[in-house]
Amino acid sequence: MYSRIVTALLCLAFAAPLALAQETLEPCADSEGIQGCYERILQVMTPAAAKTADAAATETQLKAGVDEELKVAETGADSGGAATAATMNDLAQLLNALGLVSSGDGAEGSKLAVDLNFLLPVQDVDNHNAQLKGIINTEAEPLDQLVQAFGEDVRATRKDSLQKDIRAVGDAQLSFTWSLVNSRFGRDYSVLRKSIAPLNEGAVGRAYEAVTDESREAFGVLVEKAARAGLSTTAPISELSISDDEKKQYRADTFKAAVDRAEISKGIEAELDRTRMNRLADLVEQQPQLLFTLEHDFRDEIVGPETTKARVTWEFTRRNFGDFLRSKGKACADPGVADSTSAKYDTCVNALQSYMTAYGVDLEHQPRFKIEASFKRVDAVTYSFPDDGVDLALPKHDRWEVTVAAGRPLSSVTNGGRLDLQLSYDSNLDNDDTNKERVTASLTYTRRVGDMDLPFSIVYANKDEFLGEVDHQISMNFGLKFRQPKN
Amino acid sequence: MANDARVAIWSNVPGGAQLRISVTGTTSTSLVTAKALVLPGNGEKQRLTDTDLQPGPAAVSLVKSARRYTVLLDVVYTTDGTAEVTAEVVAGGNRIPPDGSADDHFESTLTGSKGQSLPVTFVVVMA
Repeated sequence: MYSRIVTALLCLAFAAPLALAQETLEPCADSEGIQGCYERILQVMTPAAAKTADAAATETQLKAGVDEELKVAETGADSGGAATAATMNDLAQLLNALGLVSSGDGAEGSKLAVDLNFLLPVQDVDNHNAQLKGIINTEAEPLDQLVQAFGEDVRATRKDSLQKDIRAVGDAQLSFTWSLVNSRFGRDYSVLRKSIAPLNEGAVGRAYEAVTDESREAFGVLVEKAARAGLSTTAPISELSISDDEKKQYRADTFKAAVDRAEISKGIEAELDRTRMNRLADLVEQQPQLLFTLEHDFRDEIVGPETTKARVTWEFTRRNFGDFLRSKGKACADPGVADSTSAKYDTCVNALQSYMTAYGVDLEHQPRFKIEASFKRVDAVTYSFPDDGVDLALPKHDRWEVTVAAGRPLSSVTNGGRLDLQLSYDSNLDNDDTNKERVTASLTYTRRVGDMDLPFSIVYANKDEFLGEVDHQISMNFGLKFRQPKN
Repeated sequence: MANDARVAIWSNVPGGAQLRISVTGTTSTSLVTAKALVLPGNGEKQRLTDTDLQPGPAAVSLVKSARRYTVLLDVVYTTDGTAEVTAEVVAGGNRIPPDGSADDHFESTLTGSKGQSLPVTFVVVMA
């Protein structure tokens, strides 16, 4: 009974637009063949999307994704403002971009990122769930602790001298990131296809229920009739060896068959809209991500000690496709939803409608969270400049770093501002004076003006030396940080 | 040659031939699914699921007694994406070209946007 009501509604919903389409569509012309006219009407009534616009949008997304990732790579976990990018990182869009150059601001130097995915197995690259990347700091500088060890009178001279000894690749990083992809983590559609395809098939089936068998087969019947009569379906109807009345009938029948076929497609789109299946991609975009990263910094000794870092990052939101399937949408996991005449389809659709009504309005503005843990090993390094009385030894040490971040837009209005909170703990595992325990926190308000993000951060650090590059220091432990617009 | 055609017709096809349909389009970043309804002029209708069609080929055995086959293929775009639809009729190991086509098979590239559905129709008339 329910399916009949829905079918009737679908018929009603599309009767008016299709009547209008029939009024505005050019009928089959004498110069058109049966196939040509049918093709034209389908092209007009169900136009494909513009390829050029689609390709351009994809390219823009890729570039934006890479830029965001580079921001994270440059600023690190203990800098205010990093949370904005870190909790919105979309690995799927980022990966597999070819080598791109990005310039950081003056304080952080310029970095050149090169995609090295061609070195990975093809399967990992095709699935976009792995990335091998090289980052070269093109403005590497001598280690600050080393520079400060020189006497004040020779410090500038020695710094310039050391700077010249740094090789072109004297500060480089090799980074490998792997994203876990399954029904719970990741946004890989080739994995999620098996969950979503049955829903789409159910929607297609429901649209077909609104169409009679006669109209489904109309074009096939017409083509068979022509073929059995020895008539070409590709030749102009005017050239067929039949009477004018018969030609008129073929033109009319072809036109109706094409409109009926397009009507089915419109019915499918209406069903996708009614059931909210046309927003499933929005849920997938909110899927949690679990990323594993291994990094090694290759450095000239003058730049600093080599470091190795292993990191696990969990980025998540509360409402997403996996959450839907595990909560209200359990029925949608049943393959039976592909059958539009089954009660399972309606149960699944009701669940999706309910979920999207409750949470779907503001999906992209829900809070996002990130938990990240990393282990870092910093090698020992020794500097000896006897003529200047410099003898500096930095011991090997290990650190645990843990970061918790949360962020959300302050309103659903575009460019309405965003608030991010990040708390980081950096341990001192070796208990020596040179490696102090660090606790930093930042609260960042980001406002987008035009094409620029303007962040304003309040930064806290347990020691003032850990405040980093702040624009204004309020007290020993607090500072303000804001990024000036770049030209 | 690739195009965005929506219809192909094969006429005078011998019994025992096979219609093979393939769809590709789902990648890690885009989701395109397909479903087909096969309507013989005489006989039971058949449904081809996304699993059958993508990457395919899904094969339909063509029998003379059916007189004709109308195949309604619907491509659904969960995200923006591009679907490649190919179809061929094979008899005795040889491809039979679609009517009026210089190619020996049907091939179409259909670009769609999120929430869209695009139709493709095949008709096979048996000899």
